[in-house]
Order: sequence, then C-alpha cells, then structure tokens
Amino acid sequence: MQAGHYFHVLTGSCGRWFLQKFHRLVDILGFFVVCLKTTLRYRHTGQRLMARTFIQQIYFTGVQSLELICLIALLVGGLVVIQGIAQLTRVGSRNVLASLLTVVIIREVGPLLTAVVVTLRSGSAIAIEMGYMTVLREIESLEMQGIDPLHFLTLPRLVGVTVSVICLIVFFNIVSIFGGFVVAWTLVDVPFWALFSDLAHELNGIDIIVGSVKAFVFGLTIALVCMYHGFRTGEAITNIPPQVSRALVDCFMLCIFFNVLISALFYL
Amino acid sequence: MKASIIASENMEYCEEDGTCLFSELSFRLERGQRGVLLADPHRCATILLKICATLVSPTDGQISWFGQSSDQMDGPGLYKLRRRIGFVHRETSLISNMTILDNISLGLQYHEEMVREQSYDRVTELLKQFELYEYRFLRPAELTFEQRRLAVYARELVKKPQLYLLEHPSLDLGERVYSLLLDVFKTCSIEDGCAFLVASVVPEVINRWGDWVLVFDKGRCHHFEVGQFDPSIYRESMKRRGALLSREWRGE
Repeated sequence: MQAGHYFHVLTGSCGRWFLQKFHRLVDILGFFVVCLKTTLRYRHTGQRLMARTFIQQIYFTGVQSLELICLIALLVGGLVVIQGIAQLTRVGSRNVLASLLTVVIIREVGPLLTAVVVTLRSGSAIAIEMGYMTVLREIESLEMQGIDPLHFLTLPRLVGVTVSVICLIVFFNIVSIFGGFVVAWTLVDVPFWALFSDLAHELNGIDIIVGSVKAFVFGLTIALVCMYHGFRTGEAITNIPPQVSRALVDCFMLCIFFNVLISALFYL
Repeated sequence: MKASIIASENMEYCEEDGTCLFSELSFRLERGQRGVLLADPHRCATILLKICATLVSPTDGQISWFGQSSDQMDGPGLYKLRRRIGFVHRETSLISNMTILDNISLGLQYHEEMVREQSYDRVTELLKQFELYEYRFLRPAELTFEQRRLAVYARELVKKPQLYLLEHPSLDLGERVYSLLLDVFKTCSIEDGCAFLVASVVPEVINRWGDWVLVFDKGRCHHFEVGQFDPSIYRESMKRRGALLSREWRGE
C-alpha cells in the first residue's frame, strides 16, 4: 500500500518536472518564432546600428574568449592522446590514434566544450544584461523610442553568438588536434606528418557537416535561451540571479540533448 | 475636422485583484492643449499615463490617438505611434551601457539610418542648451540625477513628438533647470502645437502646465477648466483625508 503511494508520488513528481521542462521548451521555441517574425518585419531598419552591435558581440564572444578556448583545447587534446596511448598500447593499436582524435574531439568534445565555455562566459553575460535592462526599465525606454527590443537587442546577439560559436568550434578542433599531435610526438615519437595524414584520411565530409550543424544549433540555443530568461526577469532585481542560473542550466541541458540528437541522426 | 491628439471614452482600469483605479473616464486632449492629472493615490495618474503611452491597456472603454484606436493598430503601428509620444515618468531611464550622446541620438540612428556623426550633429544644439555637452561621452551612471533627468528629456525632445506625457516634471530638477525646461516645452507647444499631459501630486503645477485638470478621487474622475479649479481647496481636502487616514491607523 505504502509502496504504491510512494510510486504515485514519484511518478507524479517526474511527470510534473517533465511537463514543466516541456512547457519551457515550447515557450523558448515560441520566443524564437517571434524573434524571426520581428527580424523579417524590421529587416531594413537600423542596419548600421545593428551591424555595430553585431561586431561588438562577435568581439566579446568570439575574440575575447580565444585565449580560454586555446588553453582548454590544448589540454583536452593532450589528455585524449595520453589516455588513447595508454589504452591503445595494451591492444597494440596505436595507429588508430588519429581515428580516436577525430571521433572524440571533432565529433563530440570540441563542439560541446566550446558551447559550455560560451555559455559560461557570454550566455551568462547576455542573461544578466537583459535582466538588468528589464528591471531598470531600459526595455520600456526602448519601446517608447519606437524600437522593438526583440529586433534591436535579440538579432545582433543571436547572429553574433552563432557566428562566434561556429568559428570557436573550428578553432578549438584545430588547436586541440595540434595539442594531441604534440603530446603524441613527444611521448611515443609518432611522426607528426604521419598522424596528420591519418587524420586527413579519417576525417570525412559527414564529420564536417555534423560539426557545422552542431555549432549552428549550439550558438542559436545559447543566445536564445539566455535572451529568453533575461527578458523574463520581471521587476525585482532579486529575480536576476535565479533567472541567470536557470538560463545556464537550460543551455547546458539543451546543448547536451541536441548533441546526442544530432550524433544519433548522423552516425546511427 | 482634425482628430484629437488623444481621446478616451468611458475608460476603466481595474487591477487583477478587482480594485478599480478609475472608471467612466472620458477626456480629450487637442493640439497645443495642456492637461494636468492630480491624483491621490498617485498610482491612478501613473497608470493613466502608461495607458496613454500605449504601455498598458485599459480594462474597459476606448482610447484613441490621432483618431486611431489601439484595436486598429498592429505591432509596427504601435511602435510607430510611440515615436509620436514623448513619455517621461518617475522611473524612465537611459540605456546604461551607452554614452549620453548615443542615448539621445539612438532614435535617429535607428529609425533614420543616420551615421553616428550625423546624428551627433543633430543633437549637439540641444545638449549645449541643457548644459550636457561636456558630459556627452559619459555613461548615465557618471552623471548627477539632474543631468540624467535632463538627458531623458533631451532624448524625448529629439523625437519631436506631438504628445508629451510627463510625470512629476520637476522631479530631480533645480528651479533654474526646471524653468529652462518649461521654456523649451512652451516653445514646442506654441511653435509645433505639441500637447501635454502632466501628472503630479502638487496642485500648483496647473499654474505652469494646465488648460484643464483631471482630479482622481476614490476611483472617480472630476474634470475642471483651469479657472474653475482652486488648488487650495484640493490641498485642504487631501490634508483632511490624510488626517482621517492617520486617525484610522491609530484606531481612533
């Protein structure tokens, strides 16, 4: 009897949690559709101003996080190769190192880690900025200037973050592979050019397409989710921290979800 | 016949808990006219200003701007209308990550596709008049309350709206700066036929701003022409009510 009660409570809680997440996802999708409609409606308005904001966003998200991405990529590349060598030596298949790098870094770790770094660095900044603008009634001021905030604030950030994430993922992959090669060359004396030719052989068109699709989806997700939560801050300044926290968790969960979904679609 | 700048008919606004701030409110504001809203509590006037600024919808009744009601307008139409309205309320703020110059010229850069320098040239005269020119490259947080308030007025003036909605126009302003602002608005009223709707708790404000007065009292609205309205009676009645309220709080 009691076990049945607990089972009901458990399934009820799970159901409510799932419905809540599902509603939020639908809400975010709705927000995306409204943003698209607004973009189309005002496509000829404020182009100069928007271009400036777009460049600022690229500089903040793309250029300023290069150092961090570079460091993480080098370390991750080295780590994958160290683990790869340790495991592959046992089975005597050290020549599949390039294959391992392609699978682990280019297909999975590169896009996901870059998305995490961008979420932590730029996503949080966007959510906080939007939150403050809402609380301080700056959004209302924009509206009274006859400026649609969904166009003026959302579009440059959406495009800026997406373009930056695409470029950062390419950069991450290159640096990471370079890091892996250096470690492999140092530890097991594998010729640099041999690894490079193996990698060129392993890497196919699908990997590049998958990488691009993931980069595009992650960039869009991060910007969209953070903007959405920022706009929903309400009137109290104390709403900003929980809203930012929700934004980051949602970004992370959605990026992992899309990563699995895209990989399953292309590789299964 | 030209349509009124703003006209309302039997307008009502009730909050979600059912409290009605006002009902059956009808008024017209014509070109060049100046109306004053006196309210206690002041929330009635704030909400009415927000309704007039298209930021809040009335719960019942009709309101139209330049002969067009909000039902006849879609999203872009509403944004277009807002460009014809200058709205400064107590909490109006500047965009904090932009300089004063960018804040004031934002509308020009966005709507008129002006290059930065060109838009700066357009606002320079106004900045000099408001003594903000030397602070033009500072962010709002680096200015005094008075300078920030003036920058907000400057931003609205640059839009060249036909209707100004102002809440406590003297707020944060010294007497000299307030007089300067009044002169600027007077010129707008005379030369461009701008209309003003000013909300305040100080009845004397009608001497400087009013052609007519709307007094909100316990959810009802009373309309007075400026000659019929005696600020001292209003002030006395407010004082009496204040005294009554404080007695109620003390349980007498």
